[in-house]
Amino acid sequence: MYLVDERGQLYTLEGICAAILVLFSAYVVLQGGIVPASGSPSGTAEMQLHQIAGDALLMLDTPGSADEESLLSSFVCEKNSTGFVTSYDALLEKRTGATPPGSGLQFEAEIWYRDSSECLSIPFGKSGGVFSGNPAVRVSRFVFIPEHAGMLWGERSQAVLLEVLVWRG
Amino acid sequence: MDITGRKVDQDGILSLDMLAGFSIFLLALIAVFAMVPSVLAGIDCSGADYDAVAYRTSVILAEYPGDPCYPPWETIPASASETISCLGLACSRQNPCILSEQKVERLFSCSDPEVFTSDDIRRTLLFEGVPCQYNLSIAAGELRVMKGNPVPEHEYGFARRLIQVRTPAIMSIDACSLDISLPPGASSRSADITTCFNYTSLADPAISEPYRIRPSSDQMTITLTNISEALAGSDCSGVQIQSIDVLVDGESSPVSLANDSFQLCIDGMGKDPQTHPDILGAGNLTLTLYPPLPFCDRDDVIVDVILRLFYQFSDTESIHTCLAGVQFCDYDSDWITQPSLIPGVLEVCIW
Repeated sequence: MYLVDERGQLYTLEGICAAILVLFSAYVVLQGGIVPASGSPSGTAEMQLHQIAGDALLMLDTPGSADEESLLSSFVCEKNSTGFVTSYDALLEKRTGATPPGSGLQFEAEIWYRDSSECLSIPFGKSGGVFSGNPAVRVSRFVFIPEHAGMLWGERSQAVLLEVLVWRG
Repeated sequence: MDITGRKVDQDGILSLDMLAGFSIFLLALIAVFAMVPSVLAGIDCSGADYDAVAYRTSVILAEYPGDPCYPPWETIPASASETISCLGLACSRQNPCILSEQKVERLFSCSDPEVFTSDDIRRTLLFEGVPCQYNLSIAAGELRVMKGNPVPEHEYGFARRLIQVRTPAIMSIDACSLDISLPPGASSRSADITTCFNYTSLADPAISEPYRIRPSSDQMTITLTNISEALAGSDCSGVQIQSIDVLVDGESSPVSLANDSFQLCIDGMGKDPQTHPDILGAGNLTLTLYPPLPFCDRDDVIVDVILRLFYQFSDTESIHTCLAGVQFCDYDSDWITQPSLIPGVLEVCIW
């Protein structure tokens, strides 16, 4: 023999339990299965920035003909950071004209070299902007410097690492 | 009756209670279904998708040589475009961002009646079956090319790559350096101007790959200049092009070039060598050889391109002057403009 109230409470409790169970299951499943929007805006922007910054270094290091010297190598040999900044900036801003020009890119470069037993770095020019914590990317390229007098590491040849930090101004 | 004396009506209590519980369950279920669209809303981000498509297309254009590689896709007529599976513009996989001038001209050609259609572009560079508009553009030096629709002001996927367009070697032979004197007697004779390509010496490992002369895959342009000056003192009454042949080492006789594998221009006007056009009085003659040359699949071959001219002399008593000689194509020749790289930019817009 059952009490009437007990039986009624049991059925209501089942409904509440089922509801909680369904909500909790949905919460767990959806939390685990949320797909981030493909190429979120910030990720795509950084990818494009990285691509163009790397391409610009590659272009500076690829001479126009077999008997020419790499521009990047000659800038480092001659310690011509102004020439590097001008050329690099011109490449970053290059457009075909099919789209309107975007916001300017800012950058600062430094060179890492080996001096006897330690690795040292020196700044190698920067554009006018000040780094304000915007998302930035870092690209680098080894530049072969042949035997050359007056270099910080002496006359011997060396492959130095040119690092450039690029961000949207 | 129960023990408390009340009348038991179990069926009624059960139905109401069951209804309450089931209603709560249904409400929860509806709430869960209502959640789903808001969760999926973030995935439907069309702008970001197009950025990814534009990036993929820019990588194909700038870093892949295209498919097929042999024969190169740029030599396949658009009427057989279904055999082309990828329209990459790079010279080779080893040198990304260095584009072949021939491939760029082929892809962006608008005047050619056999131009690639929008469907070809979507199939080989975008995603087949995905309806989207595109705009591809390249600017490098004097070269300004564009393909596709005008770019809208907003909401389009965008990718930009810095590239270099490689121009192949150009051979310019001064005819004055080829004139030879022949003893009097004959009233006519033929003489050959031969350009020799030694594939082994041209594949010099000391020369970096983008700067190599590659007759197997490059369009070779041979220009004979100052023809009228070179023949000014001659007693020629006619100089006709007899044949244009290719002789490969190891072969006993030359073979004629197929009509679609070269173009002959005299003073800028296209001519058919089968009609034996006369070049007496002409300023220059340009022979453009389209890749691949015969037997170019061998890398140790020596190929001679022979331009045979037929001379008719008006005076059989005097010494005759005609043009003949062998020109060797190598990296030290001052009559060859070496391949060069022109810096530029490639942009891809998808919407």
